[in-house]
Amino acid sequence: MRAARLIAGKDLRLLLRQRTIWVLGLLAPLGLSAVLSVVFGGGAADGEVTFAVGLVDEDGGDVSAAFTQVVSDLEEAGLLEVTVYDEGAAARAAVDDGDIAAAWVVPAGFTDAVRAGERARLTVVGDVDAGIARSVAEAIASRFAVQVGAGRLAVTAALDRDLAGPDELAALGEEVSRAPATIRAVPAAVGDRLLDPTTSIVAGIALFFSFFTAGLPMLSLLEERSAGTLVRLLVAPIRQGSVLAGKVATGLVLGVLSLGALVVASSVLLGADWGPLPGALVVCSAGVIAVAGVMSIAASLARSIEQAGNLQSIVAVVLGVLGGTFVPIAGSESGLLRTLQRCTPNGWFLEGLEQARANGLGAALPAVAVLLGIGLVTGAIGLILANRRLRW
Amino acid sequence: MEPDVPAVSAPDAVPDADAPVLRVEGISKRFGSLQAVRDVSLRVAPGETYGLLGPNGAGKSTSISIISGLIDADTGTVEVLGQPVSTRTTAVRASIGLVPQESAVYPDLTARENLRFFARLYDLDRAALDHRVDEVLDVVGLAGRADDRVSTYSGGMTRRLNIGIGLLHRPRLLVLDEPTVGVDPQSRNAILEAVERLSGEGTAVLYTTHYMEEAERLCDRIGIIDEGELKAEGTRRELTTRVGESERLRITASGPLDTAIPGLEALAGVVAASPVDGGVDLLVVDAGSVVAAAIEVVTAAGASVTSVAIEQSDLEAVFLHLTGKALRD
Repeated sequence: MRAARLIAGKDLRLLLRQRTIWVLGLLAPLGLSAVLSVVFGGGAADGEVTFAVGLVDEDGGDVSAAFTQVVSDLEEAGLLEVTVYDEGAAARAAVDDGDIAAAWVVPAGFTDAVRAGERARLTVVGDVDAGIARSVAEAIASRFAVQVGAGRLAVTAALDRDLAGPDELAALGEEVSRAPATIRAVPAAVGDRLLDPTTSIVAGIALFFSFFTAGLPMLSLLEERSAGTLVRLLVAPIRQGSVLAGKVATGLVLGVLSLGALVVASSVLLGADWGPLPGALVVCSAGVIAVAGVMSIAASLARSIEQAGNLQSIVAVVLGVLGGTFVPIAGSESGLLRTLQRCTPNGWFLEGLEQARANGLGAALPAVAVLLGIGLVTGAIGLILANRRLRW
Repeated sequence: MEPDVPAVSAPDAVPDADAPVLRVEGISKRFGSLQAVRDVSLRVAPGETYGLLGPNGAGKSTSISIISGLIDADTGTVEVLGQPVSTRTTAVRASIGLVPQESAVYPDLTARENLRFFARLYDLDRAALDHRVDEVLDVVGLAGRADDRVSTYSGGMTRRLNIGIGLLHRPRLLVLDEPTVGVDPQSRNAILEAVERLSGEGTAVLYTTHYMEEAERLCDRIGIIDEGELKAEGTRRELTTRVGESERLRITASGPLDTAIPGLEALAGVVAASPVDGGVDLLVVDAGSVVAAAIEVVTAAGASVTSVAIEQSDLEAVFLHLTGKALRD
C-alpha cells in the first residue's frame, strides 16, 4: 500500500499542476451546467420556471381580455410574473431597464380587427439578452394567435348568425387559456424527476465530466509508458500491482474531489439542491467508482494515448446520452429510454441522487449497490487488461 | 493489495565480497520471429565496469531489460548478489539501479521532487533521504537548478537527472543503457566522470554503448554483442589481440560504395570490409600494401575518395573482425 500511496500522491501532484484537470473537473462542468440549467431549467433553482414579463392592454376589448386571462392563468401556474403597464412605451422602458424580460402589447383596435376578420397584431417586446424568456413570450402569443384564428372563424360564424354574445367570448377565453399548457413542456422535460431541473442537470454533467477526471490516471499509465517512467516504476522494488493500485486510487480521489467541489459550487452558484450531504456524497462516491471502472476498460483497450482519449470520449458521450445527461429522460418507468438509462451508470447515479434527496440514503442504496457493482466488475476487467499492458 | 516488499539493504546482502555482483547464464529471448538475445552469459564483479558494445539492434537493450527484471528471459538465469532476478522478484531490485536509454523523469516535477519520489519508492530512510537527494544533485551537477521543473531543463541536464535517479539508492549494480546518446559534450563528460567515480567506489557497472571511445575509456572488460549474440569478451588488450597485427583502414568517399565491397574483400591482405557512413572500413594485415589497390577498387565502383586513414587495432577493428561489419552500421 505504501508504494501505491506514493504513486497516487505523485500522480495527484502532477495532475493538479495541469490546467486540464481544473477545466475537466470543475470549470467545464460548472459552466456547462449553468448554460443547460438556463436552457432546460429556466435558471430557477426551485424547479419552477418563472419569467418576469409585462402586459399592456391598449385595446380593452373582449379578445384582449381573453389574452389577459391566458396570461393571468399562466401567472397563477407560476410560469410568469406579470406586471401590467398602461402603455407600450412604459413596457419597452421596463424591458430596456431589465425589469422584465419581455412584454406583450395588445394594441388598440385589436378586438375589432379580430371580429372584422382583419389583420390584427399582437406585439412582443423582448430583451435580446433574455432569449429564453422572449421565446416563451412569443410562443404564448403565437399559440394565442392560433387559437384566436380558429376562434375568430367561430366568432365570425356566430356573428353571421348573430350569436356572438358574451358567453361565446367567455368560451373563447377559456379555450385559449388552456392552450399554453403545452408550453409547460419545457420544464416538463425534467419534471418527472425528484431532483429539480438545475440539480438534475448539474448532476448529469458532473458525472459526465468525471468520466474524464477519473479516467485521466489510467491514461497517464500510457503516458508513463511512452515517457519511459513506467520502466522505472516496474524495476523498482515494489509489486507490479502497486502501480495499478496507485493509478486507481488517483482516479477515485480526483473523481470524488471533482464531484464534491461541483456539489458545493453548484449549490452556491446555481442554487442546486442535492439534498442531505451524506446521501449525496455516498451516491457521488459510488458513481465515481462505477465511472473509474468503466474508464479503466476503455484506457486498457487502447494502444496509444490518443486512442485511449478517443475511446474514453466515445464511452463517456454514449453513456451520457443514454443516461440522460444531455437530454433529460422523462416518461414512464417502462419506456425504452428509461430501460436504456438503467443500463448506464449515469442513469443509476441520477436515480440514486433522486432517491437520496427525496426519501433518504436508505432509498438510494439499491442504486448505490448497482453503481458499486458496475465499478467492481468493470474495474476488475480493466485491471486485468491493464496488467497485461504493464508487461514489456 | 499485496504488501510491499521491504528494500534490501545492499551491503548486508553481499555474501561474498569476491563473488560477482551480476551473474548472467545463457539468457535467450525471442520476440516472434526475431531472436533478440541468444545464449548470453556474463559476469560483473564489484567495482568493475563491464561494457556491452554493439550497434543499434544488437540486443543490448533486451539484455538489460532482462537483467533489470523488466522482462523475463525465455531461457537462462540472472542473479544479482546471488539472488535470482525476474519480473516476479522484487526485493533484489533494490540492489539494481537502472538508467534507461530514454530520460525517464517527470517533466512537471522538479529535480528534487523526482529524486524524492524515487527515493521513497526505494524505501530510503526518511531521515537520510534529504541528505542523499542533495548528494545526488551535487554528483550530477544539478544542485543549482534542483527546484526548477525538469521541463525547463536542457536535454543534457535531463539526462544527468536520469542518471541521478538510477544511483539514488546506492545500488550495488548500476545498469546504464546508452546514457550519452544525444547528449552535449559537457554533459557527456560529466556522465562519464560520474560513472568512473561510482565504479571507483565499488559499484558494479554494466554499461551499454555503441560508442567505442566510451567503452575504451570506462570499461574494464568489454563484451562485443551483435545479432543477439555475445561474440567475444575481455579487456581491451585481450580483444585487440584477437585481430593480431591487423590495422584498420578507413576510406572516406562519396558515391556508390556498396558495389565496391566485394572487390575490396577480394583483395589480398583484406580481412574484412564494411560500409560505414560516408566511407568504408577495412580490416587489413598491412595497410601500406593494400591502400593503393583499395582506392582503385573504390574509384572503379564510381565513388570519389576524399581521404584515407590508417589506425592501429582498436575496438572498431575488433568488431569488424568479429562481425564483418562496422560498429556504426
